[in-house]
Amino acid sequence: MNTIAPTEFIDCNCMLGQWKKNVESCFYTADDLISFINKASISKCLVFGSLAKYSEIQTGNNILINAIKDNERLIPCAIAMPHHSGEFPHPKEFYRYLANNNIRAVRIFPTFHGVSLYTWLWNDLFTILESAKIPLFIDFSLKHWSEEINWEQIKNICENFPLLPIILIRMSLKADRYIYYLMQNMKNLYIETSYYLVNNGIEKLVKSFGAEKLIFGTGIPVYNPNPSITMLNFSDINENERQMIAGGNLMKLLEEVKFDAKQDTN
Amino acid sequence: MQNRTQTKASVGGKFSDITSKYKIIDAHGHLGYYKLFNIPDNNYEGILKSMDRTGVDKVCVSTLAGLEVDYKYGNDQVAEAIDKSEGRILGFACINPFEKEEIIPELERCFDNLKMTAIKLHPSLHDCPAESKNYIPVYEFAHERKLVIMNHSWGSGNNLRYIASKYHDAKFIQAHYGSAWDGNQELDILEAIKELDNAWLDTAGSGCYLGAFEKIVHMMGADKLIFGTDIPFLDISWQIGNVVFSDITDVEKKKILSTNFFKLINSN
Repeated sequence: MNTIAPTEFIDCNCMLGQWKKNVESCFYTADDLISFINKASISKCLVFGSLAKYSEIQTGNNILINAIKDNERLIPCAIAMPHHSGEFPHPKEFYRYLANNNIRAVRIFPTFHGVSLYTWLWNDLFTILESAKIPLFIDFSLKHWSEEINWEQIKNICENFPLLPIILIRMSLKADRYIYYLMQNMKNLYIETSYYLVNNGIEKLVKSFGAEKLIFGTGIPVYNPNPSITMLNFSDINENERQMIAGGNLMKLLEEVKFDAKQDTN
Repeated sequence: MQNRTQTKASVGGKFSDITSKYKIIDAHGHLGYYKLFNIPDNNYEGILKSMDRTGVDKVCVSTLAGLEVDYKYGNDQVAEAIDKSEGRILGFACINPFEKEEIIPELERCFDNLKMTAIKLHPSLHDCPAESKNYIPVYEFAHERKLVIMNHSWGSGNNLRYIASKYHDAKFIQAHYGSAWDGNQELDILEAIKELDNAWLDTAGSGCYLGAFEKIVHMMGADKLIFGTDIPFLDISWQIGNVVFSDITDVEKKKILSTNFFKLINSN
């Protein structure tokens, strides 16, 4: 128990590009990021672009793809939003974009981008993501554990898109009273661990649901990766479970993405 | 960044080998349940198990029930934990600022009979502002006995300046970095702590921003920081990761993780 094994950490929650509040720490280039994760003993990252989050989504997605092109340790994650207002490509077009660039993960910011998780609003996008089992990372931009999120909407999304892997970013102390029910009943729900501060919480979830439903993340460069790495290292779980959470589960989800040629040409 | 040691340098050993060499004293812990969220393993047995697993030597605790609703019930729970932990669990005494006549008798019970170590105040759970005069008996008692008072929040920097100067033999700890410090906020409470000889800052908190801990050590000096985790309110390993694997010197780590608080509670 707690013997150190050479765990391979793959961070699902990482941003590339400028962040105005911490200019000293942000990663301007792929090399900056690689240099940082080398020191932090993180082997790979699933990365989204800061311009895509903070301003121009598709331009930011494109910049990210170019910035990490040919780098096997940095895996792209595209940001998306509903298309109806004309600000973002139609889901079919976005699907082709994902397939053509082999982007196997999508992240949305319902709170930060001011688009609530109404099923009717996201239906077209989620339907097409579900068809390829593209993991959907939902980031409510939670800064503090005391903030509330709309669990009814999460439940509806999980129910309506049962084959869509849904990963909730930065779940924290207040999540337990909801996620035990939801994880029991929704097989497609996953929890990212970067802010899951519940006392012995990781081992409790593993005991209840197995290690399959937890995905390691850090939130770099906004947040310090050390606490989330230490929390997983100290968790009272076996080494196989630790490795699944640290990276195995994420890689499995990414490997299970199947772009459908028919969908691509529609 | 030194957290390479977390995954590579000690392969085959135990994580507690890395941490136990510091003889960590966690100055900010709790016991019991909380109204807003689930806290597993929140009794003293659970705390001891977490300490063993993470290589923490001692922890000073108050009960959430004692801070929020029933201080006598809470203090009795802390006393039981002190007795049964063979010295590894230390105790914070709690009071109800609205029962003014009971404050001194309860503090006397805590320190003369229940072997408490320090006092914990929590204006938001007490529902009594940090500037309230109701706390004066607490300050007088701590001043007279040269005790440590940890406060969830001392309110403004000026409030702390006034209290710490007037009750200069007491020792004042501000919890949570002064409120989840992100490395950028200009907080007057931090300025006040820096100015005062009898004020310190506790590291406990959920918001661990990249580079913020190293900045605060640089800004305040390692002598001003006291290690706290908020166990079991927060998982104990969270702050261990923030401090033990931070990019500061080993001498600074030893001060923050152990000797600073040890000196405070042993210098009466």
